[in-house]
Amino acid sequence: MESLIFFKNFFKAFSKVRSLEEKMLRIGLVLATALILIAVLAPYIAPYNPIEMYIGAPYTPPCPQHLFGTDSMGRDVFSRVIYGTRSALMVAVISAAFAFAIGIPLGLISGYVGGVFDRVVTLIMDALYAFPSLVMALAIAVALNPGGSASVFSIILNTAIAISVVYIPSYFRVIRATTLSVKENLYVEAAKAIGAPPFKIVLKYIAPNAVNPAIPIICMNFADAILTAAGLSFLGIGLPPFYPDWGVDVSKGWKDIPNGVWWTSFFPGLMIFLATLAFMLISDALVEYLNPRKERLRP
Amino acid sequence: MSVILSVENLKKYFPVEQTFLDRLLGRRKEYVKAVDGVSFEIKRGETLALVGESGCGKTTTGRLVVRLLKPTGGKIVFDGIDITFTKESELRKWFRRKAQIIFQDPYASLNPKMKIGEAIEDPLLIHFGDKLSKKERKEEVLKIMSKVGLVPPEYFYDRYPHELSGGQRQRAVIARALVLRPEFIVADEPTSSLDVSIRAQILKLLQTLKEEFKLTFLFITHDLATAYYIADRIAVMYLGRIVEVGDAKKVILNPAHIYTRALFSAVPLPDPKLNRSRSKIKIRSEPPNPINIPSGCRFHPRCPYAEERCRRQNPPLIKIDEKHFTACWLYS
Amino acid sequence: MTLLEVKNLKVEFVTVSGSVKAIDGVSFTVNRGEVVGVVGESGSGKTTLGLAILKILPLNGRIVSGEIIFDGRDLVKLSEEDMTKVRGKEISMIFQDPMTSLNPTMRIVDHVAEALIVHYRLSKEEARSKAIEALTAVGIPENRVLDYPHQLSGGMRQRVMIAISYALKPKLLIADEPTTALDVIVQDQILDLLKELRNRQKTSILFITHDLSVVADIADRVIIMYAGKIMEIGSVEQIYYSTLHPYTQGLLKSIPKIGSNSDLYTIPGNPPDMLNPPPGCRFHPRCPFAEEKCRKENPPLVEVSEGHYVACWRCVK
Repeated sequence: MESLIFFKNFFKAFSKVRSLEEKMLRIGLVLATALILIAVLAPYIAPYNPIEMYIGAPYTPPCPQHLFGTDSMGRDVFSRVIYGTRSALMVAVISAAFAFAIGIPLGLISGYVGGVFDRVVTLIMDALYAFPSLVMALAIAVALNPGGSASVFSIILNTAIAISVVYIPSYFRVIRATTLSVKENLYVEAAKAIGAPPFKIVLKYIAPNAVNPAIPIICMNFADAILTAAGLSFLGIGLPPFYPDWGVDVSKGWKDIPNGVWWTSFFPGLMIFLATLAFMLISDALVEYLNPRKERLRP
Repeated sequence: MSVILSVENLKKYFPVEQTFLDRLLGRRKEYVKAVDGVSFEIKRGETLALVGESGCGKTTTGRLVVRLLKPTGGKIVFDGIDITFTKESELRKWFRRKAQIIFQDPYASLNPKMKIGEAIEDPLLIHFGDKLSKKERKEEVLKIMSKVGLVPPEYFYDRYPHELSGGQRQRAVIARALVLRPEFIVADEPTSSLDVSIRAQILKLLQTLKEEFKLTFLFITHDLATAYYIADRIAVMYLGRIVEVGDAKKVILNPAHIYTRALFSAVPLPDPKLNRSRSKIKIRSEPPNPINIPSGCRFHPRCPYAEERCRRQNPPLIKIDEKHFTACWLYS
Repeated sequence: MTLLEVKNLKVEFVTVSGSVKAIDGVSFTVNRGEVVGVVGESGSGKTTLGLAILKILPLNGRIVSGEIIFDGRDLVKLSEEDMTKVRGKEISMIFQDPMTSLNPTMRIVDHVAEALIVHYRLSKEEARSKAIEALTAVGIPENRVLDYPHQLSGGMRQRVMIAISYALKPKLLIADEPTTALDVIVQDQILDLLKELRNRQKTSILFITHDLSVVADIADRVIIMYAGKIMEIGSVEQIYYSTLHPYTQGLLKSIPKIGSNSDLYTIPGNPPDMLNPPPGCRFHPRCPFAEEKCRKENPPLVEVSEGHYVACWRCVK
């Protein structure tokens, strides 16, 4: 019910005044919805099987039969781009779920318990945070799949885990900080006074009031996961060459650009850009919206 | 009447946050002596008002006696059992059911993400979750909600705190404190953040509930008129110590300690003529820093009657009348 | 003798949930050298009144209609540029939390000096010496004038705010709950200071508060507000000893009094939701004397005896 009110106000607020953030949010939401629909409906949208070779002549430029042209093996680039949305979103969702599931409880506990435990965890998280994210993800991906001969799904899973490790500290830091301020609230002291045990205080009294700032991070995490996954595939750590994936396609296609074949890398690249942009826009707009100072306008 | 709570020489020192530089230079750790040797007793069914200005330690005392804070020293005995240093897990087994606290700010005392009904039910869930069914718990909650005047209770059960007015929220907080049928309640300025027209409602409600549930109150307030209305006995605190204690009507109408007299004469009255005609004891300065507490009687630097002895020796509580004690050398 | 005359002032706020008539047709006067108390609960519009007179309403608020005649000029019609000259120099304001109006990185002496430089174009040295004079006059020891705001207690900070008023010599001081956050002894000191300011400089004070006891101590006349409207205006004696409006009567009977053993009266219900204020008399849902007429028609503010105005159908002949 409360979330319903939240969304009602949310949309009401943005249909009235149209500020920059609200426009950003609108564009982001439209793009993201489109991406999700594409991923779900891929079999109905894609005109061809994305891994079937020689559907058309190799290197056919964009034309009515092949909207985005074909690649070196004669596969339909449009169909590959459509199917590629699936692996991209899968990596994003799984990595966000992992990072969320580890970063948030850790942040809550660390912030609530404090003391030595908090110091140690914070130190580890800061060390993780300080590491360049792509290098880190690369190292973890290699470590998780040293032989390079796993199934497609386990590669996606590994990539997602690698990215989530990079993101755990972001969730952790934000949640720990809000936990530190939320736990000073009188209602937390009141919960202690009625005899609530610590885990219940964290779960029922602190967590619901502390997780809001994590929402923009989820979107940021999404955007970054798509980008990093593409980077990993581009470097050859990710998926096998036949699998429809934007990163894989860009890495294979960019070598053809000098020969005038731009479409094999441009369209998957564009998708990476659009997908990243969509979630970045939502994330930025949410940061603005969840900013408590703005809420003061309400009576 | 049996004693429900007895406090002896209670102390709470808060360490002052040291900067890195302080530690590096080996500066001595300083303490704010928020409560520094407080003793009192509350009898079953009695209301003791703890009055004083901000920073006098009254709120800290309230939190100490319900063990939301760990004392630095002294002794707290509740119902014959020493709870001074009892572990939280042990307190949860019995003490948290018998002693409750109501805070000043009802807005901050309720979890904004919990419905009023859930908030009031939570204590039952924690303590009797396995004994009472969901239906029994809800019945109990609705019963207590109508007792505190949240009527119709079914309507308020599903409301969120932000949908309620300040007075209604304080009623919900009171219901949550009472749902376990405690014996002792610390009420920490329960009316001071409410609108004037609502204060009387809440005060009267607490009075009625006290009779009905046979409650004992430690009522913390800075407002003497409220203390006069609600309390049986009153204890006046200054800089972490009790300076005067006694029968509420007696102390308020005939204050003995110079501080109490100054405090009482500074209180404006809702009566223009009386305000302008009465004689006042004026104190010019402000209370000293609780880190560097004056020697001897803590009030001596501000006291117009201070003598040599006051600067050196701290006065004990001296009996000046039946059930009326004050810590001032003038009465020795 | 009249310094400020507010005529039929209406102020509105636009919020996500709808528009709120925070002040709905308020008229009163403040004479020179007079302390007028404005008493009301939350939502009564008392704070908005102070902000509206200085035209410093929040962005979502505006003056809908009415006049604010100050010293012969209508402030409502004054340009923002001219208003800047009025603020501080002719009308100044102090708030409940002085920290909100003090710059944490500025020494307190500079707060006062800065105001003097802006409004009186004094030189820096002159301004400083006058500032120190003003600060010592309000009871801040000379060795503290170089302190920063955070080094002072709440009472001291309020003294700094009063020192600014002392130095600028405004004709009107709007004090919005200036003592609410303070302890009684310090409150008493600040009230004495304000009385002294009035006596020495003949400054008029509009003292906004929820506290009927403080008003009884400081005010010459009292305005009782409820839900954006004035319920009763009168001298302190009229308000406290010949109370006419049921709301004022209820308020006075519901505060505990030292020495009185009678039971407390309680005003039933809650202050109104300003998004949907009740029709007719705003107080009728909580009034023990409400009749059919009260539910439908809003009572006018009528003069029942000299200087004593009441908005209640029971007092309309």
